[in-house]
Amino acid sequence: MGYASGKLQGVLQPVATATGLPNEHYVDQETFEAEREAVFFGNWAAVGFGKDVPETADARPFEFLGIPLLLVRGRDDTVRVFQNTCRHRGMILVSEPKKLRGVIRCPYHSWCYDLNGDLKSTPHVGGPGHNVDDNIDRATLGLIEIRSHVWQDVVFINMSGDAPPFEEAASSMLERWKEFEQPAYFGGADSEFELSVRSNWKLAVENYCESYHLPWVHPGLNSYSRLEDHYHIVEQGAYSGQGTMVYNPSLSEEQAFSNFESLSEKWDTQAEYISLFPNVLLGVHRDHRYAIILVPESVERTTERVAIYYARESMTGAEFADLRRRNTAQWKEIFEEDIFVVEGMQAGRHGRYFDGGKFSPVMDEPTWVFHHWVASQLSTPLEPRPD
Amino acid sequence: MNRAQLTDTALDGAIRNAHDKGDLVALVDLYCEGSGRKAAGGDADASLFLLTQAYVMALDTGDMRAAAIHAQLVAAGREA
Repeated sequence: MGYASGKLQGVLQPVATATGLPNEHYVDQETFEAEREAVFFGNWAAVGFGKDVPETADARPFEFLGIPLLLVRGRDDTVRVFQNTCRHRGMILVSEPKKLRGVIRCPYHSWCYDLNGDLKSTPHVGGPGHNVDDNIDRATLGLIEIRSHVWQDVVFINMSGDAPPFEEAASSMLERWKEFEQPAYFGGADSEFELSVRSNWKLAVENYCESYHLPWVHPGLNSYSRLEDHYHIVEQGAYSGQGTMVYNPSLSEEQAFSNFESLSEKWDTQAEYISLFPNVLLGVHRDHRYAIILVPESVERTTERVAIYYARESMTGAEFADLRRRNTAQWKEIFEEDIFVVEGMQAGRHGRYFDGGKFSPVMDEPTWVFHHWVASQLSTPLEPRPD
Repeated sequence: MNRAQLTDTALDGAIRNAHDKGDLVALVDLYCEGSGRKAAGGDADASLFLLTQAYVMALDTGDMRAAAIHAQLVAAGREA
């Protein structure tokens, strides 16, 4: 039963003496499942974007850590997440992205649900042509809605239902980037991409947090964003990452994106890159922001879903298409440069005598903060939660 | 297509054809036609079965007739 939490005591130490998470956190199925409950389902996990359901009545099925889910934009423009499972016999309701003309209708027995999850019709449930039955209380058989929150177009879910409200759980993050609490506009098809990485999801977080690898893995940055231009960002128990003092985009000599409104002077040249635990990697700049959602496909495979957003709606128009493509290509190149180290660390985790590693107290603090947080989530034995 | 002019056999064929094509909008019309014929023939159960089918198709497609069909089923004691 559960996960052997005693092994994590070495991780739950100060950065100077801590070891990293043991190998099983990267290669072991039982540990992956323990993390599924404690790290993901017990917290606010990122599962998609509002732009995945851009219009009213759009529905998009997806799977997150084995749970079939359905993202729906209701006719009230509210984005909701439901279990994509009919309450009758457990049939998958929607199998591909679609525009719902009316209700969500189960393809098996045609039980029909409103877009807010209410069960609207149960055809022939009491016999042919008899659509009601004393034993079928529609009020108790609506779709199971999963607690969700949308922040900056990232859709978060709390599967357990008992995490603090998102605004409370992410309060420090919201405070740090409060100047960016303003509309941002998805760039469109030229502003999104996915990368498939042969690694556990955590290695993508760990790599993103730190600037230590920049001179070697991203040598192109050495000319305009040197290691010494970067600073660490740590918030124990919540997020970690890095910032740069020298954001100076040079995508084009003829054109530039407009900036977000009313930013303080520091954002003229600063940019920040933060991993909001557990699984969303964020970047903010004066003229655009992005989010990378890490989808744990399996213990050793992750999909990185990247979406870029701009400060003004006009930046999403045809006039800026070339500039957007250049920006997307630049980020894609940088994120692709990281793949070999993330996959290399994954392969190295199969080295049975690797002890989780050693942190540089000066250079690895953001990474240590993440390890410490994961370990803290697993520090009590788990009871298996039903799906 | 003038559904009223279809023979019963042809109507059944049209219903099957619409299902095959996934033409749910047509199925609202076709099932309503079938329901009406059964009602005219005194077969209330068959009529209300077909009217239920029409209702589901109307719900699925967001057809404006859903409310009226629902009202008929409620009046017949077959819906909530």
